[in-house]
Amino acid sequence: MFRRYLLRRLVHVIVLFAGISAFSFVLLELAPGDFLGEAKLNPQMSPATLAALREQYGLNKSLGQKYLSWIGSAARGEFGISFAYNLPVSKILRPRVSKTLQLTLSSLLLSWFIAVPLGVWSAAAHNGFVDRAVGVAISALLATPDVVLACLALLMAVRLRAFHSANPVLPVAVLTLGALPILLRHVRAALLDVANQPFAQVARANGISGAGLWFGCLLPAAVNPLTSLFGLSVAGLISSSLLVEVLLGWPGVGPLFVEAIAARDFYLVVDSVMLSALFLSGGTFLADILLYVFDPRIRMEL
Amino acid sequence: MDSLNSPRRALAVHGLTKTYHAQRSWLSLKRIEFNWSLCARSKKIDSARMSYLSVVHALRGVDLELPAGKTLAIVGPSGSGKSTLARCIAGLLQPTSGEIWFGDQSLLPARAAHRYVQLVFQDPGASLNPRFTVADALLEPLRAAQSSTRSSCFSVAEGLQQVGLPAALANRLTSQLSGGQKARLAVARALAALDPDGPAILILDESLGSMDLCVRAQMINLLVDLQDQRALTYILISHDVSLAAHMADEIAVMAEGIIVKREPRVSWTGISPHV
Repeated sequence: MFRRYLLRRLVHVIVLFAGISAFSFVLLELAPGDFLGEAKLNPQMSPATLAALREQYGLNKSLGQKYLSWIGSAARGEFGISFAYNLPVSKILRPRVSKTLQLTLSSLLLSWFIAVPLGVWSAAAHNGFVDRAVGVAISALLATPDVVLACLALLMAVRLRAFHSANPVLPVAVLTLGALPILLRHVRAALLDVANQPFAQVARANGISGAGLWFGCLLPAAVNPLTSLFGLSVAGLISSSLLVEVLLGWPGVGPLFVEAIAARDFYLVVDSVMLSALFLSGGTFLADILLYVFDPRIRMEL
Repeated sequence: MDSLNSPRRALAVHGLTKTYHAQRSWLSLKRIEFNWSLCARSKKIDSARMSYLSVVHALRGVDLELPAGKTLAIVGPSGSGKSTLARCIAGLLQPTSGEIWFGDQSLLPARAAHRYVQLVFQDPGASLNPRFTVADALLEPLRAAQSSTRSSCFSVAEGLQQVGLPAALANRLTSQLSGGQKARLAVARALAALDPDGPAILILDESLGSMDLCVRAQMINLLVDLQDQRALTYILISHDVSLAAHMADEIAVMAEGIIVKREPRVSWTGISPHV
């Protein structure tokens, strides 16, 4: 049964990738202008040179031909050639992705490691001082746009002169503060949801209390929505840090993506989108696997 | 068995009260105070009366004595405090004031209550953790007590057989059981948590209300048999007077947080059911 599930999942992913790649090709084709749009305005460029360049970059090809040649190039592991860098896209993306993952993975781990215990504490002290304080902090953070947080981080960096631009502390802090309130809210709500269930009362009535109750009984019971949420945060590993990277000058995928869109660097844009899609489907897949691991009911069903 | 015949007291409750403060935001509390102060001026309500009315009085001084091995039914309209009383006795709620005695042992504070008093919930299905297997559910109270000697001599198969469930169910998930099986398992779990040698109290909080007639009849027979075998004392909380009249030795009527009437079963037969 599990093998059949994996197979179904694989088919999903293939259909998803085909759809997203086709969709981004069409959208990019519909967008006005191409990579040589600026060169066209340059009086020093002769029309013959332009035509030769168009030919070289394959800009004259029809959409279908472009798509097919992109698939062929993907099969060779190149995923198209970037016009601006004149290099295979895979070579450009690889160091950028590792830079972005440095940022997002550490903020993912940090925010979950803070959110789970703090959410449990907050739920256990329901309506108490800690809960109120956490609630106020959550509301304040939710109401602060990431841009403002990033600008504050910039201000701090400038004033303190302590953070080199290659220092990941500030971007990680901004990303964590951005993700934390949502996670905290979900953890707290999921726990409060199960805390009043009759089976939780039974556990209490049987003398289970404190950490044993919250981490041993209630957290496992509340883990399903949190697992899906975890899948979503894995899905955002590539795309969630775009703004922060651009604002704080972190050499990850974010600035590259923005540049590529502005320059109409066709394959670079497509591949960045595909990379996000890869993480999205990977994240949901991971969430499904974790649900299977955590929830005996699903294990029995499959 | 001897506790059945002796008129020994199993449970005594003296002057039990439970009040809830209405949980409102700071602003609305201010508003209520303001309204009350207007009332106080116009209707001459004194401040003691005002503070009495600003909290919910779920129990207002319940006194109850229960001989071992008997069944007491508590009936009464919704909101009369039946469930609150049950939860206080079972140690799920901390009463505001009053005493609860099990034999000559105080059950307050409620930490040790679960060995002597167990509550079977209104919806037995919801009271079972859906991730647990049947065996897990039975062993949970023993694991919580961390008494390895008790859990080693406790047999899951025996616990199941006691309530008429096949031992083969032990590795099923509780969420896979039928309603009747869940009800039996809830009783088995309560029994497993109780001290196996001494007297004990089982509170059935509307536990039979959600079952169809056939399952309910089976459960009643099961409960009656268990009472004979294990010298159990039952507190049966119900809307259903005919059920109470069938099972109980005594019937107490609760209204507005106190027991207003308490009589042996005999005087109740013949009264039309479903008051």
